[in-house]
Amino acid sequence: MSLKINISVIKSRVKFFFFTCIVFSSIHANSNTPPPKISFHLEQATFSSIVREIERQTPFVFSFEAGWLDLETKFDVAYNDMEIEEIIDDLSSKFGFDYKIENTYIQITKRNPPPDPLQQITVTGYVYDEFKVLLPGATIIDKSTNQGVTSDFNGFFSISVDSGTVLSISYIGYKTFEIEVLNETELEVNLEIKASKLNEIVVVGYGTQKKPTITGSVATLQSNDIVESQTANLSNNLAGRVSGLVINTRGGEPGSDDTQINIRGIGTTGDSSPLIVIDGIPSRGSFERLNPNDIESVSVLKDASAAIYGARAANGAILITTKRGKSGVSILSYNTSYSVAQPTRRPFLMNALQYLTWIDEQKIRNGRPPDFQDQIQDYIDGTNDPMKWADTDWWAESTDLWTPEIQHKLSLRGGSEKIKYFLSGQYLDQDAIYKGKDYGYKQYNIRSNLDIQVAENFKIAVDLAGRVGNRTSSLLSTDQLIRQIFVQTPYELSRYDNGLLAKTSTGNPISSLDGSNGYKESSNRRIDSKFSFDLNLSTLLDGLSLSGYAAFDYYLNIRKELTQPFDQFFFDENTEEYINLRDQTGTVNLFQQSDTDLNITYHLRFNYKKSFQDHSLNTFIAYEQYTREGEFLSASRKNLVSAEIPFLFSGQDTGQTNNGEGSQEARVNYFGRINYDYKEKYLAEFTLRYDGSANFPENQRFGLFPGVSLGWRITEEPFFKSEYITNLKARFSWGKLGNDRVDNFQYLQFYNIEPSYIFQENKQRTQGLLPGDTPNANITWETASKYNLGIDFNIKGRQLAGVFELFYERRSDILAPRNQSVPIYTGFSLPDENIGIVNNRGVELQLNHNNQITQDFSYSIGSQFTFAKSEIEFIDEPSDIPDYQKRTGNPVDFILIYQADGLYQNQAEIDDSVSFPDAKPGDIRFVDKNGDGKIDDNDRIILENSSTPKITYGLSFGFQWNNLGMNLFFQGQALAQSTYRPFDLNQQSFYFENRWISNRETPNATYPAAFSPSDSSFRNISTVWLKSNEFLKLKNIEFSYLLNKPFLNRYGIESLRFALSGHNVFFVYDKVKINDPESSSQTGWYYPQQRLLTAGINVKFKDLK
Amino acid sequence: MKTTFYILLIFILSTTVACENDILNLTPLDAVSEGAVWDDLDLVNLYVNARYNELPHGFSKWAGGLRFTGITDESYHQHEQPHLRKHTNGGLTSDNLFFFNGFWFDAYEAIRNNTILLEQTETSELDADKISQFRAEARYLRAYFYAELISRYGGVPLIESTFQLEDDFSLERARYEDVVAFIIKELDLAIPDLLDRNKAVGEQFGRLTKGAGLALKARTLLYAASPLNNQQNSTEKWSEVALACEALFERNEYSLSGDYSGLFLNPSDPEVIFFKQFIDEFGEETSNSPEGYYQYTGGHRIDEWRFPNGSGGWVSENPTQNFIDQYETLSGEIPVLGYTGSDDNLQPILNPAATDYDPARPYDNRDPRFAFSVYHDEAIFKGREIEMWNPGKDSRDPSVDFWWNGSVLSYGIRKSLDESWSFESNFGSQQPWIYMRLSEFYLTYAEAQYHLGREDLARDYVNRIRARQGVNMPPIDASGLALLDKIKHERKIELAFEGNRWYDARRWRDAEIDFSQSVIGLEVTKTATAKSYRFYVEETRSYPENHYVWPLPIQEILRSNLEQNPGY
Repeated sequence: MSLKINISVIKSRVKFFFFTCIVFSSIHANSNTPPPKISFHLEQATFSSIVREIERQTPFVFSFEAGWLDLETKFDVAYNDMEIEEIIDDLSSKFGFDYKIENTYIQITKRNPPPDPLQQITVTGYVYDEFKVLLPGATIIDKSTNQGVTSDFNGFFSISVDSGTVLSISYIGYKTFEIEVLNETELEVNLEIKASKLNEIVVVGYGTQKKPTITGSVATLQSNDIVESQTANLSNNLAGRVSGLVINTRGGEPGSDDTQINIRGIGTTGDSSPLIVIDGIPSRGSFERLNPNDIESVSVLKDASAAIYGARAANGAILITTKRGKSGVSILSYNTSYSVAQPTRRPFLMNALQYLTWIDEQKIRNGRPPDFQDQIQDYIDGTNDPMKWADTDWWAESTDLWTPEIQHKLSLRGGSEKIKYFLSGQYLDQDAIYKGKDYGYKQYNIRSNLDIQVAENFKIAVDLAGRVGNRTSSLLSTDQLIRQIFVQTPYELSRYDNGLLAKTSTGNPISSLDGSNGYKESSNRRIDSKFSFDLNLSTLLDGLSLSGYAAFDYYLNIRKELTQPFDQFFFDENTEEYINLRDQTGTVNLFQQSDTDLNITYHLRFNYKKSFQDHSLNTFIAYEQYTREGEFLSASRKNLVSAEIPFLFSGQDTGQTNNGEGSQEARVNYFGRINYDYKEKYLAEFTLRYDGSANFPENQRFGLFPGVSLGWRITEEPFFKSEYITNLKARFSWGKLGNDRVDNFQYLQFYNIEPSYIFQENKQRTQGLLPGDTPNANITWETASKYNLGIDFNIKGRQLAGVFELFYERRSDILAPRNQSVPIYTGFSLPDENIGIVNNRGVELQLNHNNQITQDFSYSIGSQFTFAKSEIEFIDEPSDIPDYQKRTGNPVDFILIYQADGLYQNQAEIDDSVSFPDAKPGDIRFVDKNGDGKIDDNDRIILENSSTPKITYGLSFGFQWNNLGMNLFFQGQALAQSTYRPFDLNQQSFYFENRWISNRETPNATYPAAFSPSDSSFRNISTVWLKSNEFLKLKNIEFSYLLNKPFLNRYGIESLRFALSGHNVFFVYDKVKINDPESSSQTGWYYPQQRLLTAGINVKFKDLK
Repeated sequence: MKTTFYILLIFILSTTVACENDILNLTPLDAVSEGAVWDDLDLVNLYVNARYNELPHGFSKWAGGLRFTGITDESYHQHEQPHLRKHTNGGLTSDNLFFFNGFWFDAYEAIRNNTILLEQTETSELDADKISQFRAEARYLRAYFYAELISRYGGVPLIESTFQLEDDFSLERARYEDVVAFIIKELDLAIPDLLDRNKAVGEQFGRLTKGAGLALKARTLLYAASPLNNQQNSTEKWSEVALACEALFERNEYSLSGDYSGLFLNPSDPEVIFFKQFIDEFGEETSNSPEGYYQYTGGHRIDEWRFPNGSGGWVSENPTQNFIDQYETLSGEIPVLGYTGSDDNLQPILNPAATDYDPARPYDNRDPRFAFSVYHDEAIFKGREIEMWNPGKDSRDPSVDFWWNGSVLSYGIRKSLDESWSFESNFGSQQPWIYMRLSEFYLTYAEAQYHLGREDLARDYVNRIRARQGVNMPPIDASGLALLDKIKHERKIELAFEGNRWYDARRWRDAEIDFSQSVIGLEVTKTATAKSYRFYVEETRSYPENHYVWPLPIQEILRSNLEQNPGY
């Protein structure tokens, strides 16, 4: 078999994926499992109505060319529990046609006399899509020989075949078309789009639904869009693409890039992160680290549609579905990409001259003699002694301009009727921006999703996914490390002329970032497994089935921190010697920690699906339980024998520490759903969930979470006639959902053990018991009532598709400690109590447009817009604070800040106003908000906007010209703001350049005169430091070229795709300028967001026997 | 096959449902549950250990939780000056106490935790002796926090039993006198059950003793009898102070140390009454940002903070020149009476009586406690000479490594430093914090006897301290107001940098004057042949009357009905 040859070729190229080959060759088999049995009765039915009935009951889809078929004749048909083939056979004799069943496609063809079997003919033809656009690169295969060609740039093909053979014409994204070649030698093939948006199957909680019948607010993203950006963090690939999904990338550190994800903004003062469900299993966590190529689809449940997840879904749910096997052609796909990354914005710190000027200006302002006048003059004259008075760009000394990132991805997808498989692997290697040591992140992902049809009515699936994520980083936390770069004085050297590392007055950061002073390693290892079955019980009751799964997820997280002595030199001017200060840099010490977690989910579900003429019903009831057991151990040793033996045994006993503890969680759930529709016109869905969570006391443990949604497809009404509006649907939903994400056991009084007081002459540390939080016996989950009103419409099919939604949510019983109204003298450590109320409302709009300009050129435009505004209705706060400080009526995450009113230009202005006692000209003029004649905390105000954007939007453009494609994706946000405020010794030169110097030189300066962190005009955060986080950026750009020439087939290659892409390419506009506008770090001490330029290649090998 | 499946599935279904209750009934695996604690003497003991651990100590970071040398006339905190400045220039408000606000939070939490023990062990059936001791210790500790609270804030809410979540929390501030009465009542209850000093050894070493009980009683009564809190100058209050001191002295458990410099490193010294020990850890400062206060837990690094720059330290607090001048010469005279001239070049007014003072050798012929308490230019520290001159190793010349750790005023605090510490050390500092030592109570007794008219007794107790081994300063013979000044002066010198000054100057109502003095600094210039000294004003200070008590934290004012102190 040629396939095997292909595989071995690949094997030698990409050794590390050999495992897929073994599995693959053992399961490549063909079989014909009978399809499910169906029943229906129709009186006086036309062929079309019978087809519609079968399509509704089964996954089968008919394909036929109207014209020759008799669509007028009517028959009474009655099929009871018959296989599809029997039915079609019967229909073929009734209506007179030939047919072919391939997978779920039933190809109806004109009945023809049998051909002469041995006649060799040449068939030529054109392949078009449904808009009559020629399709270059379509594959035409002679099924009897498995020889094939592809259509050329003009969609033209030519193939020599035996008469009577079947040609299969396929093209990615289109339904495969098969035709028996008899006498025709010129063909015109029209391929139909596979999942035209209208009939897309959408993953919803515990099942799938056809898009037209969905009544909730469910947004989806398909695999093609997900892989467009070649980033390692999956959430980066989602940001801006789905309406209602608000994702902010707060940093760019490999392996721990932070993203903040909310659905429709923040609706609670508690945990506002959505529930992430991966392949039906909640609590799998860290979906960002999944291999983007493994994702089939992402669904975002934004309204009551998430109610099926009950007590955990108040913040909405994100459902990730991984790819599964498909019967038919198996495709081996190999993807590799090489990227270079750089910060979207790098900090430019004050240089030596600026820094010394700044310090002296501070001194002069404080009435002290300046220290550096001579040096400043030297710098200006260029006569500074560079050994002693250098000018170091510490950021450039510390970080690389570009850092590489490599990804390899391999997947194999295919199967037969009996066994379907999807196998994949990913290798990712991301370097950190720091110079020197190999800090960064390496990730290995493997996945095997198998579906096995064990018996006619029994299917099982085995999904296994493994991941190892290894992160090596500095001993300092990222914030500390970046701060360490910031606080260097620019006049100090990083290295002497001879390359030796210089000691600096604030601690040279290079020994921390090149690994010479030690490292932190964390290895995240996890195995997710899921064993599921599906048993068709139609022998008991027609339409009944039982399905279930057990998922065992095991996580192991190992951390290691090693400190070691390092070389650092001091130049002694007297002796002219470089003195190594290694002895002052400590000993080899080790800290280790391991966490393990075992998560077990059991799920069992009875499904019942039935159609009665125009009524269809799809229901289930289910039971699910979840348990988690975790444990951690940690230990440390000092004075290791050598840093090369980084294990506990090599350390000393004195000063050793060790610790360990456990944790557990559990949930039990009963739930069910009823979906009903009448002629796919009137739609209704009811869900009910009864959830128990161990986070709450026995009498508060269970809660009932109902959801209702209704839909009306107006275009299905006989009275609705419009040429333009091809689809119009109105939807409404309401549901009650919960949020149980708070600390466990707050209803119990317990005592924590901690190292405590030291007694005895020889100083023995004892243990102590510290009372935990004061128990709250009444604690229970938060409750969200969600309302959603939506309209879906299509104008001229794919020409314009849109979704418009209005939502309102009221969250009550929000869990928060009463720490603003309970006096401190009570001595409580306050537990969470169900006290808060927040409402959240907004609008979403999604519009998509596809168009074909010429036969060679098509384009698409997509856009999404979300506005979400949250408002606190009740929160625990002191009753007598002024209105302008009340959190009630303001967003959940808020900025409380002094109002600045420019800068003081002279002493007279200070004397005439209310100011801080140390105010001087050039300081910030604060507004005495309450007019009490002094500036204090009471003068701060709460701002309307916070760092969570109220408006987010995305715009995507796709262009296809022959085999060349270009995709652009713009992401934007507005109505968000953060304070950016430098701190510590050195800082962005921006603040220097825009500082106040004097009322003559800089009357319009933005920032105060040279300030030190202790100045009250600096310490009291005011609106001077505020910047809007609004931006519009070109988030992704991709150029691709698809090569699918016939000659490639000789090598078993179906296609080659080359792509050049950029991620976070540039800001069309933004206001922050000195940092990435998505950062909310005040000080700039964070790992910057990354711009990524990527070259990638994708090779597809196809099973061509 | 089908039947087998059904049976299997029904089996799975029934087993999973059957254990639902077990699934949800979990207990914490990282803590001890309430039921276990109070029925187990060992666990009660652990509970008490953690109560001891809640005691704040004077080595807290920067200016810290308990001791306040940087906001008195003793010293100038060169790193935290901007934060402390509101204390020294009259700018205190209810929302800017910063480091110091945390005590209100910590104290009431500790009060609650100690009260929990008293409530839970009220009817305990465990070993009666041990339980009585634990209860006495909890009473003491609770009293200690109240004593500290009223010293800062005046009257505070007095809480004797724990609140529950559903309670009405509204309370008024108790009067200062009522809290004092409560403290004395509690100490009287506790003292009999506390250990004798000779029992506080071995495993019990470090536990509270009867002596510590009497000492806290005497200190509390002294503050209550002092002018700030005893406007009528009731002598009865002074006799209570004297009685408490006598009860302490009569126990004959403590005696003055012969090693004034070493006693601060030695918790077993006969002078030490109560202390907190440290090993092997740095302290950890946490900022409770929503509340805006700082907490400091664990060990300390006082050596690093107070060592001279040339020995790897930060010289955080610089004794002021004004305070240096307070150290007598060996003849018992204060050498410098004040300064005249321009702020950047002050001329000292020399005391003609101090004939043994040479302005060119200002550190010679001084009270021995001077060299034990302060390091200065030319002092020998860790075997080397301190260099305060520019660009000496310990100076602030910009060419010096870590020049910002050079002393601003050219002095550093030496008292209680452990010179064996080195900055390469991976460990925190090890010396104990001493809450109370005998000489404080000799001086307290002298002050009480002065107010009771027994000047001879007052002089006797002052002179005992001056005559202690290794100090041997000449006796005082003043009487009347001059004697009171001598008592105050002795207290200032003897207890310098131990944190008493802030309490003493306020209770005497001297702070308005003493804490308003400008901070005078010294600049040393070295030439090949000689050194010269320039005195200058580093900072001006003021101390308005409302500063005698601190404002209650804004957070508490907002959450309660408590009345704010006047002037805030």
